Amino acid sequence: MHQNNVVAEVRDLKVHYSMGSRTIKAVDGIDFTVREGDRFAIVGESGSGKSTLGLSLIRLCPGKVSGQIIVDGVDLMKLSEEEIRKFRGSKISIIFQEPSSALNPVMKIGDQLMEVFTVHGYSKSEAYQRSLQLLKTVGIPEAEKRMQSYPHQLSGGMKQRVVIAMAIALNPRLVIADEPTSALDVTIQAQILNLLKNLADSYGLSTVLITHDMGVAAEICNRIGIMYAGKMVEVGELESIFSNPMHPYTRALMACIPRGLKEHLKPLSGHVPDLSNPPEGCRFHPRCPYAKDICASVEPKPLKLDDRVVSCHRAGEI
Amino acid sequence: MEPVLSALKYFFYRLLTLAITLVGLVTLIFILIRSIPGDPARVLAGMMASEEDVNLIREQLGLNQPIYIQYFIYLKNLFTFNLGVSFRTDSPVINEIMARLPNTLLLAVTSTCLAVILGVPLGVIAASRKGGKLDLLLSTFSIAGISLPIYWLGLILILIFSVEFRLLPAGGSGTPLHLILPTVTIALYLMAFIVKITKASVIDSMEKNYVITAKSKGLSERTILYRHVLKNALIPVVTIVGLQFGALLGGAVITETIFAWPGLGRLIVDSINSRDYPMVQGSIFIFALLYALVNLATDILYTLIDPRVRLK
Amino acid sequence: MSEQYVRLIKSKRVQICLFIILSFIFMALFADLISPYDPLETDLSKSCKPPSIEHLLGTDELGRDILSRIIYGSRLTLTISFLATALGAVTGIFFGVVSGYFGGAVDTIIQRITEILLALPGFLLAIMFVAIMGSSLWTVIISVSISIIPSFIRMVRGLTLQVRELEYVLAAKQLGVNNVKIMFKHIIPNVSPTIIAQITLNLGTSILFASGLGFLGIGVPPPAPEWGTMLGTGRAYIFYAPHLIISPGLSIFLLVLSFNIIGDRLGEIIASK
Repeated sequence: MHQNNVVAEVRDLKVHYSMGSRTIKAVDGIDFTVREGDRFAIVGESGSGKSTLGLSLIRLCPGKVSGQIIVDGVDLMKLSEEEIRKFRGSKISIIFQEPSSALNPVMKIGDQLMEVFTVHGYSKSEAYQRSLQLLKTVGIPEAEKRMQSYPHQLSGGMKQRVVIAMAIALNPRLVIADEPTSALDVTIQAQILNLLKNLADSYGLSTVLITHDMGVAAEICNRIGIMYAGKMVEVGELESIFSNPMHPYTRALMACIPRGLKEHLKPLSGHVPDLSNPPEGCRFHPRCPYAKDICASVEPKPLKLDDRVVSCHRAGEI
Repeated sequence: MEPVLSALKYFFYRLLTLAITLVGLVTLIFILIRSIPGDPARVLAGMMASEEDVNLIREQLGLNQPIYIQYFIYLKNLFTFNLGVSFRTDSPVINEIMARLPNTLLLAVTSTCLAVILGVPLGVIAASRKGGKLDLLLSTFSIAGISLPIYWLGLILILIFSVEFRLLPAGGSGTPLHLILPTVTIALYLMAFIVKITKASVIDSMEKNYVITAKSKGLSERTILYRHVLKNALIPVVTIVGLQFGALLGGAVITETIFAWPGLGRLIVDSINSRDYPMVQGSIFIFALLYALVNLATDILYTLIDPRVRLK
Repeated sequence: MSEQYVRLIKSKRVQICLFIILSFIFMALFADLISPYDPLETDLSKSCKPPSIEHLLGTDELGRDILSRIIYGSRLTLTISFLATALGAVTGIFFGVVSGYFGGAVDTIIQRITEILLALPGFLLAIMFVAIMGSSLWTVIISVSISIIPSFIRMVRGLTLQVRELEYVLAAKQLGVNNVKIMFKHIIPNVSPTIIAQITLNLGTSILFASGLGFLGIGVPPPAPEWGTMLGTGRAYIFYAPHLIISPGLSIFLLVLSFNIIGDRLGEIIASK
């Protein structure tokens, strides 16, 4: 079903930025692969560095970025600003969390949508036709009227649809969705998620979905990467990880999901570490119920185990 | 048709509020004059006036009539633009004012245009080169400009251009050359504000999320600046310029005095000094009216350019 | 809250400005001791003499020593500035808090009056009051203070509206703490830094207004050594005795600039929180 062509490969990605005298290591050595047609979820709590990761993939994050981001065979890290601009919007795009602030309040919806096309070489009339079609595709009624509307005249859900339309306009190789539903009403969330799923299917889009909500990930993704304190602790097929989580943090996250009324939630104790001064060894060890001495001193390397990659000294044992 | 109707409604509503405020202002003046200890006629006539003058004033202003009649006549006169007769020249106040008003407007409009044409681009440049040397220079210029007393600025300019270099006339009017120094004086002062507010507004807009979205679509910084940021950033600038235009009318008083420019501002000062009370009252009334109209125009302009505020 | 003031004082620019302001205050306080001559003493034979060793800043059209007049003038300027700002601020803050806190009819009335005061640009309003009340030290102070009241009312009312809805204020109300206490203990401390910034800026504005009135000849009447009045009278001699206008104008500029820089910086610090 999924072709095995690799669309994007991230190797040893690091994003550090300095605040005064401290260096915040928001992303500290992350590897993952996105194959064609994948819907890859990156899940983590707030403070895990996942939003920074999202922005860094399209090279829009502040701070020092190192490592490799290979999209369609090209390492984005080696491109000049001008070359990267050609990639943005056309080969790789991003959907943000807050649709209200993502759109320019004094510019018509149609103009903002058409911009994606005109910037990449299309004529105005072509851009108009395609934009109109896009609005229909993402399920916005009265598309012609909406082209002339301003953002404040649309509801939150509608605005997000427009943002999604802008992201998929040029059929990019990789679409990054950074918490696309967190700012929306619960009822609208389901609609938007469905939309994303359908669009991904119809257009064969490879997506990276960043979220803190396991439920959202489970809804539409087939692969998942769990992030903790700037590191990827477990990566693999979603169903497999859900049914058999190996990393203690993944297990703890699973335990937090309400499944029926009988199970009570087991909250995770402690809090997310300070990214400018993470714990020695395995970053999770202070909160880990299975921690041993080695966990406090040596950082676990990502290990290929069964069908996934896990960073835990005790993976497989527990 | 709809939006035009509601715009008209809004316009008339604002005119009404404007009228009420003006009534309030003139009532305030009315009360003030009569609440100063002593005989108002004498107060207005000044200490040097003869008994004859005082009686003349008393009659002219109807000060010997019951107060509510006075008030009524007062309001009626003001709003029919019957502003009385000057103590000094014995000719109708309104004529004098109308003769001078265009000069003040000329000064105000030219200085505002100059200030905007120079100030807005400088503010944008300062914002895009934030932290650089040019920015520092402009920020210093900005705050110095705001702190500089206009009268001193005017005098210094006279010193440089009229006294030292004998390039430009120090006062009076008649030729375009006469317009230069007063315009530049006001424009420099106004520019200080405009540069500051434009820079702040552009910087604020550049940090908004829609700029990141625009970048993610592949637009260059330059395109983003011109196509996205400026439209947003200039909205508050328009408001400020409109407001400053009003304050400018206040500053006109000073500038016209320095450069002996025959405008409304100088008329006010001269009338105060010669105790020509009807002229003072009349000119202040016209000034307040003008100011209110400019504010109204700014408001309407604002609703036109900001789609969020457009009346539905 | 105090950390903002600490940050303020650490800035070099602010320190220089504080130094300038304090110097003028010092001048004002010790005028009797440091002034070389009597500022009011005239000597027509020495009229319009340029700066020299005897008269460091020269003499004016009536032979008075300009340096002495500047020194004593600082007393006038600072007095007017502080008093006018204090009056304007206290009145404006009071009505702003009352207006914002109580809302309803009280609010509407106060707002209408504010609009009336705003019907004329600030300086013109001051001119108007001075025109009606005559020119003296007190009428100048009152006129200037009236011009700055509206900005305080507007600002404080807005802040009060914000703070009024905060939870701990609502809680205090529930507990039956009386209104006045709430206003003073809860609302005012929270809006302090913004108010202080506005006060500082208004200290500068009041100087500009007061000396502007003086320049036009309708301010503090001569022979008082008010800097604006000095500029106004000195203006006639600009062609052959330019030194008459340089020092008064420079003094005004330095003082106002210092206040503006401090107020500006404070505003930046508040906004960056």
